[in-house]
Amino acid sequence: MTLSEKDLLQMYRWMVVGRLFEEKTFELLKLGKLVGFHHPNIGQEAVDVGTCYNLRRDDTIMPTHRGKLKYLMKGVDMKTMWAGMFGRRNGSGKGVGPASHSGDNSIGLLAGVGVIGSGIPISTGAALAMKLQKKDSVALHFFGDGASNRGDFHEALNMAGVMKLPIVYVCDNNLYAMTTPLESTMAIKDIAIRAQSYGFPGVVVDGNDVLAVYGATQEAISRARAGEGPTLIECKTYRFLGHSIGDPQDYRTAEEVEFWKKKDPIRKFELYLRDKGLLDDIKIKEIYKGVSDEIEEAVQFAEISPLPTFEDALASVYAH
Amino acid sequence: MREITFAEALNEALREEMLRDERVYVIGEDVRVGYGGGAFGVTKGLLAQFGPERVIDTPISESAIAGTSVGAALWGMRPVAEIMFADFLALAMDHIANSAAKMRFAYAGEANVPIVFRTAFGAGVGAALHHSQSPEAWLVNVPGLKIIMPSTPYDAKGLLKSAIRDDNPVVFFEHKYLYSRLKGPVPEEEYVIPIGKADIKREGKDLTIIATGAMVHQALSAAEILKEEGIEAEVLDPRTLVPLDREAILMSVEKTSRVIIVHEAPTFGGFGGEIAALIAEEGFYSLDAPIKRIGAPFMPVPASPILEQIYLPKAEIIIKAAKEIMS
Amino acid sequence: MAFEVQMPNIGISIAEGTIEKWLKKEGERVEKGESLVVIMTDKVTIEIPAEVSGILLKIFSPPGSKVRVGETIALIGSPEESQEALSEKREAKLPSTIEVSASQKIKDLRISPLARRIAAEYGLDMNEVTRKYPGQKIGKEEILSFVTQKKDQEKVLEEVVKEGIKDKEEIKPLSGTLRAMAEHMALSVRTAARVTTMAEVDMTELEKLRNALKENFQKEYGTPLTFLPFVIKAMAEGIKIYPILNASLRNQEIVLHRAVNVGIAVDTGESLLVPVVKNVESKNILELSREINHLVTKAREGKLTLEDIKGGTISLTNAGVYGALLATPIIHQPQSAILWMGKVMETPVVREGKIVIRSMMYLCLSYDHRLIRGAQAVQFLQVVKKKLEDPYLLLF
Repeated sequence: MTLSEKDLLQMYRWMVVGRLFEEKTFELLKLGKLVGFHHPNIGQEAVDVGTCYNLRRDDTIMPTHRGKLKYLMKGVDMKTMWAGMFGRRNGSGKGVGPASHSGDNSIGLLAGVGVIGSGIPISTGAALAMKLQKKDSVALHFFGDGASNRGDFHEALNMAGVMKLPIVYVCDNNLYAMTTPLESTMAIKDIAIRAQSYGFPGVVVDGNDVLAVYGATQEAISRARAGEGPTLIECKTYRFLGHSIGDPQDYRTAEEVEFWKKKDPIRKFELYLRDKGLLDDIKIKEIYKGVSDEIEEAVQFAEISPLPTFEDALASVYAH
Repeated sequence: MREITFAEALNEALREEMLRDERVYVIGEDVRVGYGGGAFGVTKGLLAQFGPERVIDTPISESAIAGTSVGAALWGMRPVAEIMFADFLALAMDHIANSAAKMRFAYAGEANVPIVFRTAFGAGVGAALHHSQSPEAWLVNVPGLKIIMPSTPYDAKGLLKSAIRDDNPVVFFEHKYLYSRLKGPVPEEEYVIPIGKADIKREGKDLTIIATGAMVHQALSAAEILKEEGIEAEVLDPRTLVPLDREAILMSVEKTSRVIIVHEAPTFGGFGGEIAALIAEEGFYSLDAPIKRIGAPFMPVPASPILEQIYLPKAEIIIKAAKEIMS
Repeated sequence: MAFEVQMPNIGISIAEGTIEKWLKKEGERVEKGESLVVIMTDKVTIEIPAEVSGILLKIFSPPGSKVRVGETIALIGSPEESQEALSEKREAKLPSTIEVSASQKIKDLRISPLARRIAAEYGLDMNEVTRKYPGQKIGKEEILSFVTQKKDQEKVLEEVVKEGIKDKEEIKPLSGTLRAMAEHMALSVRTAARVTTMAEVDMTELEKLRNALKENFQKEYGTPLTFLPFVIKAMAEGIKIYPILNASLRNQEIVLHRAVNVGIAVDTGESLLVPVVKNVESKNILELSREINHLVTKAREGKLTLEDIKGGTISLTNAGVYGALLATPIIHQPQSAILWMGKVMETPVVREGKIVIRSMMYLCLSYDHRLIRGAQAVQFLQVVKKKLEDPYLLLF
């Protein structure tokens, strides 16, 4: 799908949303206002936007713990998202389940599981359902380099491959599984080659180039919609902050972080858009202000939102 | 009334429910062909009737079988996933206990996971260590699951139909010894049995024997012999382990004032402990004798048939225990 | 082998005790005969001496713990044994011949929960049940059999009762004055701290006096002369010295009555009435005789008024006329004392080393120990006695 200027600016705005959202999260976490664990996505905005832009409502995504932007892009209202992160009754998860793996099937948002890699077969199952229902919708599943070593990864991709399921596996390879570097966890350099074992294409893409990511994703989606089966997209990227808040980052050097910061995806895209005449200082300032205000408003909404009830939790165990 | 085998009853249930609701599909290893339809013939004829899109063979991937069923169930399907041997539940544990059981909770009640995990359990066929276990106790402590263990063809069919229609994840334990060896009356007309209701298989006034799975039949044999000695035993089959029919159990104990609990799993840490605790807590003043539990010894299932026979709880042990508590 | 110190058998009905304190510490040397531990029972608190010398290796029962007779509470041994002692498990040994209380027995028996429940439903005394099945398991069967047996027994008793008394019973309702008396008597006993003290009185002189006067008295005044007015006068004398005998306890206050109003107990045949002779301290023998006679007649004719029976401060009963020797009379509320006269009878007594026959009578004084002390009561009675024994001054 070709992108109009409007699309490009939209994508840029989404990246700004992603960045400011994460910064706000960090701020609120330090004030002790948020419920549960949070894993900052700063530096990986291009992956989120490139993959989630232009998805259909009936396509499904299952995000990881990293990148709340995907929820917002799939259609979760920012107020609802923040209320969920504050653990409130009217937020994602309603305080019963954590916001960071909450779901809303009406907008194709599958709830994840807190077990790294276990989501892979679940998204694969959704793709199976789509195939059985003879729909041309697609499932997108997100996972990191760490998850690609789990048994579930191999079992699920194997099944998806042999059954030709309409699924796009997106791996954000940010070179570290929590505090363990890539070379300690696998003997290969590119995770993408694993797709070969399962009979479908694996592509490597610059995870900090939002347009490159978009291109690869759309191609994979087309394949899936056409019934040609799965694709594994490996986005080479990097997270500027630690695994979660409180990570002392003893496993990497400041130089390495600096090196990747120079490849900041937002900065990259900004330059590209400035070049195309679509962005200037004023416009950028405008966008940042607009996003900042939106976030502020949503956070305030969350602060005054009602607390969850135990009855809600009890009623959420069994369907009646 | 016509009599059919345990496996045939399950087969009928699957067939009827797949006809009734096109969202129901069967998935597992060797379910298409197997040995006359699955490892035990339970899925016989389903491929021919419903086609490969509703009877799906998988690679050997218990975790993915269970995991994809969760995803499919979330996205509008009603999978009946087979884990060929209950021993392999261990491989699917993550998706049964962590994914399926908790998904509705993660959605705060806004989504359901209507799956039936069918699995063959139990010993007595010489299948040894890894194909003979009774692992229901691994799962009863997981909120969000329903757990069913029928003992007769009649119960099997009625309960499998209910399980498929239930919107919760259900683990359905089928005793492999009973598949082809147990025949029983099953009506031609459609019927369902409600989940969570126990069944008094035999009424009696002197003691209650609570038994599950194949042990129900051991209990019934024991009851026949006890009758000749003037002891009338009541045999209560919970049929559903979770949710447990507490009222039926407490009422029976109130009636007879003595209780023996029998299951095939080892006694220590077995589900019988939960039932015993329930009776001790809420039926204390009904008891005229201590509660007795009978299960297997605390060891894996031995391979040789001679050893397996010693290992398995049986009628003789029940009779001995009954006489003890009657004196 | 370490010596086991056991809770000793202190008494027949003591089955358990509580450790109050240990007089020696673990590891300390103890000599045979030295006091080792202080044990409290519900009867006594005693110090138990050590039966052997050695090191107190281990104390099993710390202060505050309940121990049964025969239970091992400590170990005494040699220093080498101290390591052993620490890892040894202790078992309570119950001697077989000790008699334990019924409540103790229940803990040892195997009573099923169902049996307990049935017992509670039938309101059975578990002591009774366990006595019937000593040392045995008690289940539903045993309880129900007990219930049936009890029912049968009760039925038999009922029959027996019905049979035996059929024609020999007459029922009278407890109403009116009878009821009032019944209630009053019970109340008095419940309320007052009643103590009765007695004195013997030598009535010989008074008898002589009366015999000398009675004929003329009757002729002159139309009233019989009894001992009563003399006794009343003597009482008044006693009260002068011990006014507490003429008092009432009212709301935590002792009310000393100035007037001595003596209630005279009169049995009318139908009931007991106590008309009051007021202000006896200011009346002489004649006046008292008249009044007593007047009141007694009224009583017997059922003509007593409320005034007649109100205001008594102390009472007097003459049961001697009926032949009674001694009694423990019940105090008439709200008074605090009642004097009772027994029969006058010729009795051999010792006077100045010789046995003589005198007319003796017992006076019984019941008093309320809440306000009257024994010494006061006894001495009051002695005053009365002395006045009666030397009665001539009472005439004035």
